[in-house]
Amino acid sequence: MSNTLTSTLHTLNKTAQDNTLNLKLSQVISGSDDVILIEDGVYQCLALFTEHHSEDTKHWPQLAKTIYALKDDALARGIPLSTKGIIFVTYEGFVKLSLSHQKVVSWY
Amino acid sequence: MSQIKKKLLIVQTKAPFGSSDIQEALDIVLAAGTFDQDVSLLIEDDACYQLLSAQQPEIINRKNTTKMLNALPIYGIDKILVCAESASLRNLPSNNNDAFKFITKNEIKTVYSESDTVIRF
Repeated sequence: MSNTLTSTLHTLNKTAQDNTLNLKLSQVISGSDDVILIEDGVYQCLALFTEHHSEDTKHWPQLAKTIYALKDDALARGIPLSTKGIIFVTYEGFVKLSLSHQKVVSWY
Repeated sequence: MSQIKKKLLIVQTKAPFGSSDIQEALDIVLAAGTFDQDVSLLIEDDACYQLLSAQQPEIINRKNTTKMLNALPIYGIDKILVCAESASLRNLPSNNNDAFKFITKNEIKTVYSESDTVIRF
């Protein structure tokens, strides 16, 4: 828990089609940061590693250390929990993640 | 009193649970159907996520809008159109089935121009 206290948790609640928001996140994220997909953000689980914004900026899923998604939001929207490369967490897990990072940045 | 019948096009563009837009669009579709109007529903962009199966929106205390879509023919609304490009872009199935008709960008252009009133959500 303490080894992540210097990093940031980014919450993202929009789909991949919100280009501006996804690009902004890609521009500021550090390699030690984690991302949690919440609300409509969980739709990004369906095509996480296929989206590309521009040639010179890496897409945030390639930069984030770990990608989490909120389990209830995924189940509600019909996203399979078997999706590779994503750790699905409960609300309790979300709270724990918030506490184990130095700060939380909301992308909405 | 003579009946005025208009071609009405309701367009859904947003993901189902992030806002109330999908629900509000459905409300208008149902109201228009009640008044015997010629109403079509077009599902575009993120609204195509309604096509995902195995949704359990009750977990986040929402109504299942996809179930409501499937019930629209009961209310006399049988023109439910889906933008095929939006669906395939999101890795969603884009085959015609009983409930939905998948159409191309050119066909969408025609649907827009042939409608008397278009309301986008």
